[in-house]
Amino acid sequence: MEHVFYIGLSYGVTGVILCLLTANTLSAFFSFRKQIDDEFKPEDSANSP
Amino acid sequence: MLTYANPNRFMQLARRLTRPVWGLSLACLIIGLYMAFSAPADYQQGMTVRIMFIHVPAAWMSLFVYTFLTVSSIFGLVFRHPLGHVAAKSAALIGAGFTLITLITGALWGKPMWGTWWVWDARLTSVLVLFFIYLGYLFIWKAIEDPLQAGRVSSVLAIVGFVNVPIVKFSVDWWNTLHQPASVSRFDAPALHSDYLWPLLVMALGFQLLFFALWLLRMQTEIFKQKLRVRRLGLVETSNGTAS
Repeated sequence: MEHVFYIGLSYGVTGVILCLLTANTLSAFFSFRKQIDDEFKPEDSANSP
Repeated sequence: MLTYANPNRFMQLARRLTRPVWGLSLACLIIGLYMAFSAPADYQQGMTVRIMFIHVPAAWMSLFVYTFLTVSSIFGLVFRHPLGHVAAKSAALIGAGFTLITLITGALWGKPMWGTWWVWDARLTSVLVLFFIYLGYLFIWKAIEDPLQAGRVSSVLAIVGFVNVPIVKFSVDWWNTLHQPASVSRFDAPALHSDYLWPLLVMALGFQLLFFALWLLRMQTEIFKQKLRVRRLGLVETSNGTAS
């Protein structure tokens, strides 16, 4: 039974670290993409005929 | 390769690649997990061998990402490649994450197998040093505001810190360590049965693809940041010029 604890904890910790990395990456990506859209969209629409 | 040195061309390629790489990575990880949990118990390690299917690929990734980071830093520092520092910075946090996974899963495997969470042997200590180098690299980017200067300083640290990579890899051969020597990446045939080798390789491929998926997104984020910075600096200069 002891091995289940170590295996579970290993996979759990790995999952948490990878999920945190993914969440950090995605939140930064969408946040900056929104800022780019907000800042460059008005110009783009003004330039288009 | 050099065609994609242009940030705009890189962004076009990254946009096309991001989703397929994410999909492949998730598929490999799901198949790898299924294979890992279907593998038979080892005659010595029992079920605990399953920790190896994440520990070993994470350890490979920690070295691969650091090598990638160093090569990118050389491109940025020596060849003034416009994406060199951006590529290195985008890889650093992912590499630190894989190194942390290596350290934690290693300790969780060590406790039932060796009877201890940690020993100060050459392999474990050099991996801990690698983790601190990653943290130092990330700290430089946080501490220095000017991206050009941060890129130069962090690249020097990355290149000097690369000395630790062969130490990690060959520590088990150079010193008498508690950590076992290489079982897969050997000059002769791997010392692993196919029941354990295949889940290990599929998980390694999944981690590799996950790294590229995360790196592509982080690269795009860094290019967005640069675009915004240049634009805001331009706006400040324009308003200063108008005011004077």
